[in-house]
Amino acid sequence: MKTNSSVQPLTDELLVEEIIKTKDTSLFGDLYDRYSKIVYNKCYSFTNNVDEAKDLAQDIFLKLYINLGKCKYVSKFSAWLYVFTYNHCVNYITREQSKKIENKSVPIEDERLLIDHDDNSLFQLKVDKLKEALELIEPDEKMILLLKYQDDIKIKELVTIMELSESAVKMRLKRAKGKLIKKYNEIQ
Amino acid sequence: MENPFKEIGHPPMEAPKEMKKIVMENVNSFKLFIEMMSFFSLDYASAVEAFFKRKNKNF
Repeated sequence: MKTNSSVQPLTDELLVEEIIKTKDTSLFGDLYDRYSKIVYNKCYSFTNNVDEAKDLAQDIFLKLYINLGKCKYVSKFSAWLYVFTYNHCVNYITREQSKKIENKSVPIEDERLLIDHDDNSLFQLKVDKLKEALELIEPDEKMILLLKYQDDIKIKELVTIMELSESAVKMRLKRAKGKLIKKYNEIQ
Repeated sequence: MENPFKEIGHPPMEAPKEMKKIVMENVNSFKLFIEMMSFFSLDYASAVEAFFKRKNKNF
């Protein structure tokens, strides 16, 4: 009797191709099983609330099914999904914040934020204080830092997925690092 | 040197079990909606082509 033990599971990219081709929702269920925990935890890292994280993750998976065709030409599905997830979370948080603060003042650019901090200075940060500092910066700044330092997504991949120039990605990263360190140092 | 970003969100939580059922229901409803829409939408290009073919035959 033949067993399926030698059958290799499809790569994410091939699985996505199959879903696009067949529109088979049970295959989409497989993709869900691979990424539900990651997506849910990413949502939680932005909301710190289990119910909101669940609602966000559900919305993201439906939106993912609708937009799956857009990731056809991306070399690494996981990197695309992380950006897709964070974008959804950032939009949600920004919307919620703007409901609370109607007259949000325009932040004045602080030149100190443009100082280029090397990665070693980031790696010396204490985890608890870092978590706190990440809550004090803008959601889009938190997003780019998590993509780079938690998900290990390369700048070249971010350029493709975020549809920005390399200098724009580097500038966002540099500004986010500067802001993070500034907020970190302000925490008692 | 340890990367403190990797320590954030550890250990990861399990996604709620009921979430998959809701996601799959949403996805199946969306798929059904799209399929239903395709029954009612016109293929305008073919309709125009057929109209002109018929019209030309009459001349």
